[in-house]
Amino acid sequence: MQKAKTEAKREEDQVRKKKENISAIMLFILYGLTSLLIVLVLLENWKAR
Amino acid sequence: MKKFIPLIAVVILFSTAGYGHYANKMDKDVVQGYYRQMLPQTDHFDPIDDRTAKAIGADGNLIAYLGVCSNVGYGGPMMVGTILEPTGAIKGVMILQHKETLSYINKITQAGYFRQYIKKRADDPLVLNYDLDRISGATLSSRAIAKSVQDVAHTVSVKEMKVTPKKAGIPWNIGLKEIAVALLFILSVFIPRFKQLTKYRMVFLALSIIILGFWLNRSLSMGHVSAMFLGYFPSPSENPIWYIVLAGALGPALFTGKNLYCTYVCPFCGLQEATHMISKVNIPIGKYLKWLWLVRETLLFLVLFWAFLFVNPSFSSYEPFGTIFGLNGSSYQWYLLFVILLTSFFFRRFWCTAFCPVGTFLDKVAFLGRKIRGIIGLSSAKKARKADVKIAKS
Repeated sequence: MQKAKTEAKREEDQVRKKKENISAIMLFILYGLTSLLIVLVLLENWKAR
Repeated sequence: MKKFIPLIAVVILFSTAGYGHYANKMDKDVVQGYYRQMLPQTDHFDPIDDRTAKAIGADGNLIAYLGVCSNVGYGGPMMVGTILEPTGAIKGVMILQHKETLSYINKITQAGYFRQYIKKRADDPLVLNYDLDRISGATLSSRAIAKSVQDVAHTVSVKEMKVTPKKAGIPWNIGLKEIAVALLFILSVFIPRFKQLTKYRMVFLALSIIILGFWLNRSLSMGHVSAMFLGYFPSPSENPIWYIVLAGALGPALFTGKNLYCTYVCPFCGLQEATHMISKVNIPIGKYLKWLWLVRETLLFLVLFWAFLFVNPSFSSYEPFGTIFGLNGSSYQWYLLFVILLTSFFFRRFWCTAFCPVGTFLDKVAFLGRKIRGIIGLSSAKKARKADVKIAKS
């Protein structure tokens, strides 16, 4: 019983960690993409100066 | 040391503004350079005043009158050159240098805005919506150019032709638009005071998207903030919305210590919340939040630093507000807008949390407001500290 409980908790932790990792990767990609586009907009402003 | 960082940042910014103004000052040689650019075949220029002159040919005859003048459009100042025939008829108008948002300049040029000046005379009123037509979607830029042309033409009219220019007699421009915007800001102050009304926040934001966003395209941008610090103020009688928006956002932040604009008025925030409501996905940013805030504060510093250094309010502006609400922007601005709206499907108010310099600036003003309230005793220091913690948590 105890073993099953520990196993379930471990699985739950693994799922939570996996979710957190996916969120972090998504955040990293979208943040990076937005930053890149902001730099390109600023470069465009610089050229039109 | 940490508590001195904001103070050091403010000192750097004000020093940069001082240096920028000094470095960008227009001198005689620069004006002569503009004259030469406008009429290269002229032998020499006899000054009428510091920015108006007579162009004299090699035979000693008067070729034309000419002058330069700068006024602020949507994003920044534009240096406009005006050439007049010796008879007083306007011969040509051109933009010599500008710090205006590029898309508005393109709009004006493509619409043939400058052609209407050719029929005019130096003593005409030369006022937008009176004897000059504006370009729809670039009203502020059209108005700035008209004011510059009027300035030069009327100087020539008075000083050389000895004719008093005709007056347009434009009254204060308070209409439905101004009242609607003012009402939005007044309501944004009252709504948080009544708990029954706060649940209608999304309805209020939708109203703001329509009025301040798609109808008027006058949401607060860093252009407003930088222009205010650089002293580029438009005429209050011709552009009262500029003042209503700035006062409506800064006033409550300073006097109540709360950034009400971002929560209740910002139309772009409303759009992000709407996309978030559609997806119903809310991925928490969690431990990365403090880093994003740090970057956001650094971005605010950099935006102001660049604007002050080049004395150009729109130069460092990267917000996509004009793109979505004015449906006007370069390809990169459209890509940026798409990515932000896509991201807000997964992360609530992603732009506000990670990138918005306007929100960061208003947060700082609200913080300053709370400090002042604490100092002058309107709220106790303990209460002000509590409010800081509550706002940081929310």
